[in-house]
This record gives sequence, C-alpha cells and structure tokens, in this order.
Amino acid sequence: MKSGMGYLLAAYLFIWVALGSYLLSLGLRQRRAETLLREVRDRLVRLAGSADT
Amino acid sequence: MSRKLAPWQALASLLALVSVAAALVLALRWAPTERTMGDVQRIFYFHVPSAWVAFLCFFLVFAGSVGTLVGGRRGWDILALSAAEVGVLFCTIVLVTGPIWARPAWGIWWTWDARLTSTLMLWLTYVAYLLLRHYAADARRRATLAAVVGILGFLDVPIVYFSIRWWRTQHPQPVIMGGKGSGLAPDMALTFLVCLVAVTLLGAALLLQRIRLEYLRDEAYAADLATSDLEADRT
Repeated sequence: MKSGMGYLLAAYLFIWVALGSYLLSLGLRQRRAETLLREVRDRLVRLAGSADT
Repeated sequence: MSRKLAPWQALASLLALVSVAAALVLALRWAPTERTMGDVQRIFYFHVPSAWVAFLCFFLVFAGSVGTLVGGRRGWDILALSAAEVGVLFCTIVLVTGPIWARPAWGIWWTWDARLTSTLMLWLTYVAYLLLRHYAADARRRATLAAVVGILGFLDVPIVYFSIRWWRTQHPQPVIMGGKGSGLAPDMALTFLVCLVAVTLLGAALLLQRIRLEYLRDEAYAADLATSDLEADRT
C-alpha cells in the first residue's frame, strides 16, 4: 500500500483547484457589484446635472 | 461596513498566505512518512483541518440563523449566508479528498458507513440551504426560511463528529483526543497543528471576503433602487 503519490497529488490538486475557483468566483462577483455601484454613481451625476439645467 | 472589514480581511489573507506556505512545506516535505500507508497519509494534514473549518462555518451559520430569527438584523443573515458558502467549500474538499485517500488505504472509494453518510447529508443540507437562498424570491421570507434550515442543519454536525464513537465504521477512530492508543508522533502532531492554523486562517480570510462582498452588493442594490426612484420622479 506504500507510496500512493498519485493519490496524494490528486487530492492536493483538487484542494487548490477548489479554493482557486472559489476565489475567482468571489473576485468576479465583487467586480460585478463594483461595476453596478459605478454605474449608479454615473446616473446620479447625470441626474444632478439635469437638475441644474 | 465593506470598507471597515477591508483591513481585517487583508490581515487574515496575509497570515493565511504565509501559514499555508509553511503548512505545505511541512505536510509534503518535512513530516515523516507514515509506516503503513506511505505518502498518501499526507492527505490527512489538509483533510482533517478542512473538516474542522467546515464545522466552524456551520456553527457560524447556526449562530447567524439564531440572530436572524431573534434580532432580524441583516448582519446576522449575511454572516449565515457567507459561512454557509465557505462551509460547503470546505465540506466539498473533505468529501473529495476522503475517497481519494480511502481508495489506496481501504481498497474502496466509498462506503455507506455512519461517518461518510452523515458527512454527505451535511453537505447536501447546506447545498439545499444555498439553493433556497438563491431561488426564494421574497428577501424577508428567504432570510427566515434559510435561518430555520441553518438551525436544523447544524443538528447533523454532532452526529458527524460522534458517529465514529457511536457506531462501528470503516472510517478510523479519532487520532486526536481519541483516548488510549490514539495520538500522533511529535513531528506529525506539529505539522498537523500548523496545517490546522493555516486552514483556519484561510477559512477566515475567505469568510471575511465573502461578508465584504455581500455588504458591497447590498450597497449597490440599495443605491440602484434609490436612483431608479429619483429617475422615475424626474420623468
């Protein structure tokens, strides 16, 4: 039963792929939220501009 | 709130990065090779800490769910949601690395013993929790329903933990705090401790990041709604 290097590598590879994928999904969701916030701010600036005129 | 949490999240991420690097070196290079199982036993150093972090996260789901039902503040709900997501991630790691270790150690990938089955049930419960949160339309009802599932789901955690003491299982008896004849060699114990701290810090960093994201989303949706109202008033 000794060694099992292939199984060890498979397990560690899975761990880092899983963690990496989750981090990527967090990053993408964060970017989407920041983009929405930026768009809202632009709309607010436009609204304020139209109120002035 | 998202900005307030930023320095803590940065600190947790930095500590996690350093400790995970040390944990990897210890687990893959420094720790002695186990006599019976060989190198495959090194899966243990990340398998068990992942289970610990999953349990910890599910406890936070429980606490957040109780807080949601009692106090009703959004912060509790955000804690529960974020901890459920991170908990499912670490529980998935446990459920995948376990069979990869079981195949060379037991000769089988999976068996329906109490520990493995109750862990799978735990995973399914929190996946259902996340699906419920994703598909339920009304925000207030969603938080209440999810809180009930979050509290009931936590009942499985002690069953998973004690299953190997209560029933005869294929899964080995506890190595740490398992009573007479259990325990680790000093070098293995030190490696395990470092891995436990590293994976806990990694879990904390991910949890803080997820909490920050939820506050940011709340901020964005609230601002979007308010701006839409203003635009509607103008037209």
